[in-house]
Amino acid sequence: MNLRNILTVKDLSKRYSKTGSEITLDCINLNVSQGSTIALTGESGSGKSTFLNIMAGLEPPSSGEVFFNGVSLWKITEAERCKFRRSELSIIFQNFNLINSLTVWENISFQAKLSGKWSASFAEHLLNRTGLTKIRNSYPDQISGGEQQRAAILRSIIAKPQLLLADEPTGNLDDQNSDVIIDLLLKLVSEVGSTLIVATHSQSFASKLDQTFSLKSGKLKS
Amino acid sequence: MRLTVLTIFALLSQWRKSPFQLVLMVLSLSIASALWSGVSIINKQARVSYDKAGSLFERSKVPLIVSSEKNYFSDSLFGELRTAGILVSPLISGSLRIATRNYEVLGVDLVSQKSNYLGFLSNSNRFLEFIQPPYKIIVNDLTRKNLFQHSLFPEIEINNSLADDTIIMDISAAQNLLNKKGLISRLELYSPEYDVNQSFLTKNSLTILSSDSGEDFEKLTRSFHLNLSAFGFLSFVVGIFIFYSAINLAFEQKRKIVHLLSVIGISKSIITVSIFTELLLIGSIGGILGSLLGYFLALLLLPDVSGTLRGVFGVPMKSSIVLPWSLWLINFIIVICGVLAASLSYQIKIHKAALISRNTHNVSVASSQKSARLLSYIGILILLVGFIFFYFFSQSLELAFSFLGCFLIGFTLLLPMVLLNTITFLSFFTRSITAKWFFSETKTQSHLLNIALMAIVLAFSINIGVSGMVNSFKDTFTSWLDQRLAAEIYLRVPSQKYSTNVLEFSEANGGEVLPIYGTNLRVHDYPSTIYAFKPHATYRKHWPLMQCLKSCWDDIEANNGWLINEQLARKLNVEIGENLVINLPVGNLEKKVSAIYSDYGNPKMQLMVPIDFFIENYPQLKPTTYAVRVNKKKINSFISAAKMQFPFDGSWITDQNSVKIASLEIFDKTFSITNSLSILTLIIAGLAVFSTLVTIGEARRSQLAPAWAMGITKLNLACQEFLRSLILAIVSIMFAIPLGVAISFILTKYVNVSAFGWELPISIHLNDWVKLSSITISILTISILAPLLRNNIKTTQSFLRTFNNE
Repeated sequence: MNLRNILTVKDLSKRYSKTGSEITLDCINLNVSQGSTIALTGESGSGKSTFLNIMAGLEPPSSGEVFFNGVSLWKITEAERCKFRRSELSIIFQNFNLINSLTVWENISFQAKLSGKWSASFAEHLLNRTGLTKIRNSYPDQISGGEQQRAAILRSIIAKPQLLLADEPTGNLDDQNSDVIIDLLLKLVSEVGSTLIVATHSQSFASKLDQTFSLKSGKLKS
Repeated sequence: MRLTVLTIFALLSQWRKSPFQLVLMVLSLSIASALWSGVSIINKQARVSYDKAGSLFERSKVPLIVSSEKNYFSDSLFGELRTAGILVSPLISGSLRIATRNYEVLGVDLVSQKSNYLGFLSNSNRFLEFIQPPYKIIVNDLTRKNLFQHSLFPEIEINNSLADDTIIMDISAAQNLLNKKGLISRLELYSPEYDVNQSFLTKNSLTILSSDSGEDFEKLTRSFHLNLSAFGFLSFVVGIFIFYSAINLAFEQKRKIVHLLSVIGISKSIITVSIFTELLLIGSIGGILGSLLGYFLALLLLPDVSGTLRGVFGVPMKSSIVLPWSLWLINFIIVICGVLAASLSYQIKIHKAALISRNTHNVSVASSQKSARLLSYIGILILLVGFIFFYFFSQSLELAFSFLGCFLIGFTLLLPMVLLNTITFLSFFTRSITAKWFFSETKTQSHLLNIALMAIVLAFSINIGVSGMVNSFKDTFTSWLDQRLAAEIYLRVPSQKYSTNVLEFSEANGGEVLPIYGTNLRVHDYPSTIYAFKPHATYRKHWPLMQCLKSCWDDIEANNGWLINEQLARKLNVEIGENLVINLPVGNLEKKVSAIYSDYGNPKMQLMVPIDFFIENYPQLKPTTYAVRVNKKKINSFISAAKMQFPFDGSWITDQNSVKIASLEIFDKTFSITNSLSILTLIIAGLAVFSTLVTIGEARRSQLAPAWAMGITKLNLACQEFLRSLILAIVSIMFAIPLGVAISFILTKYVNVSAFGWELPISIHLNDWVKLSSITISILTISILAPLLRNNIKTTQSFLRTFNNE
């Protein structure tokens, strides 16, 4: 099956430090097909998070381009990038990043409502499947880390994004919770047909995805 | 010990990462301390000024007998009075030029019984050196230095309570020095005024000047100082609020290092001691800087205070400031106590190891509600204590202020609950998730901003309260002046010998003359004044009566009823229609109180009687002040003609308008220091908001970052943050308005009555509220925008940091 490219990264570089001498990402090229699942591995500080942030339109590259459905993310305005994040993209963070002032139910509905893709029945269905119904009215600081991450995954999936980026989604969880989260994430991604790029240290997680790339000395290797 | 030192260094090293917060912390502490020390310096300076003035001529604590015609009179009259058994002490005063300086020489007689000036000698047993050649003199240190180069006075004793360039010496030596042999300026009267034979006084052209009633003077100045101290303390409390906010951040940033220190085996007690030492260090720097700032603040505010003191108490104040070490030390101790009080909650947290467990800035809605409820209970408790004070009021100024303080703080503590309920009410009408999020975040923000918002409520309500009281007072005072100064022209004849000529002139020029004069007496042992008035339509039409019986003017003019001022009525607790016995020279008289008049600005008790009855009691007294009714069109020509006819000092004749303008100028000056301090307090409250927003900036970013990642623009988020703070500030201001009105009510109904003896009607000044609200909102807008703009520069990086660590 010939799937179209949803994301293209072209000659992407990122340099830090005041002089720009410290290279984190060095002339990276990557093509991502729609519906594929990709693992980004590498040592701590290898630039995985930076790479995800650039692809999410959160952090600008030093040079190079990121195309999403043919549109260069870093040539459009900040407002347009925000619109892209609202409607086409979801991000799952290592530290969950739920909004403390909203309940679990309000948190999972937040992005879908922002993007206009909210479906209460779909949300109820996912809530039941993930076992979060009992805590739907709790605030994030009243639930466990595993529950928080499940809520964060639901928040991302309910908006049915074309691209889902996950930065160490199991980094703050124990092995048992990690396995549950990984399985849940992969099932839901496959159901909604999103493209998934995950930055992870976990080889077992990476092995469950279509492709694995590793970042070393700023270079991306397959 | 070594461990403690290392821990202190580790804690101090944290500031390298956040120098701005360190500056903010020291600055907030300096400002808190500056306001308090500034006001303390002013208080001290003012006390020194009028204590000096009070001890010399301007404010005699005893009545004086002076010549009604000349500056000096024969000292033989002193002997005659003493022979008649009247306790008097002679004084001579005059100006003496030595080299290029003028000195005020005061010759006193320490031998006379009860002389007021014996206390100026360091050892009263050595007064022989004072009364014998070469005549020791008493001066202050500065005057001694100036006199040192002249050998005129071989023996000098230092007394620094004296004013500069004032010399106190024996009366006979002073008479010689001033070339006034056998003459004196005045006699201090220690016997009761009514013991002095009036015909003796009249025969010798002498008159009794009443004391300025030391008791009333002290009462007025006490209220002035209490007012200043209350403002100073309020500013200090607001300043400590800022410091509390700053310390919040400091400890949040230290959370990790404290955790690390615990992990590597540093005990809680060493960490506590180290943090205490660090705070002491910061407190010391802030305290020293604050004392210096306070000194400059005092210099800045001194002209206003000087205006107030001159306006209200007629006391001149020096423009230079002398600061005793004790004041520095007290201010310093207060700052350290403030620092320790502000950091107490963190010390407890460290002790309980709670600080290391979680970031206290990431508050939940539930914990906001819990703490708001707790604060409300404390507030209600403080309000109850306040009402207990109110119950035991008994006209005590201190208790009146305590009630005010409890009311203010108790009510302010209800603010968090009011804010949460208001936001809940507003969010009730919202449907969209963004609006819901906006209001739920506002609840979180209200919890973080609570302290600063309470500072705003305190500052704003006091502004509303004080301005309400001042404006009510001004309204009342203005209309009272209109009534009281009904005559078109006022004359003060320099000597009684010109009275007849002036009266003839006035009548010839179409004026109707109403004499104004009176004397002192004691009513139920309270020092009071009795005034004569000529029954005339002017009084019936204009006199500012507060309460009167139906036929009051007929009764008063027929000498069948008393006309007394509010102060006397309150002091004796009498009402109209009640009988009152007053002891007059003709005997005890019992009459009903027919009318009570308002008498603002006068600390004394007063009664007015028809002129014929006054003359029956005080036949020897003659008026020297007159009110003249003339046709309004003739005022200028009358004054010009009078000035041409009588070559007195220009101020002897004045028109109604000039008196009113001068009175209102004095009024405005009286409250200028209060106005300056209240605006300053608002600015400080704005700083509290600024400091808190900077403090909570990082915590707020961690809440906003997910929304940004989900596609809400940074501009949108910044606008929301601005709106949240502004809404909270506006709700706080609206909450503060009724509190301000209540403060105004307490000030006018209770504090004023306790302090001055008069009660003011309250008037509402909406335009004043609008003006104050605009100033406050402007200050707050700047305070809210500044940290937002500052943070916006580094928002992207700090948002990303939120995703990558914690």
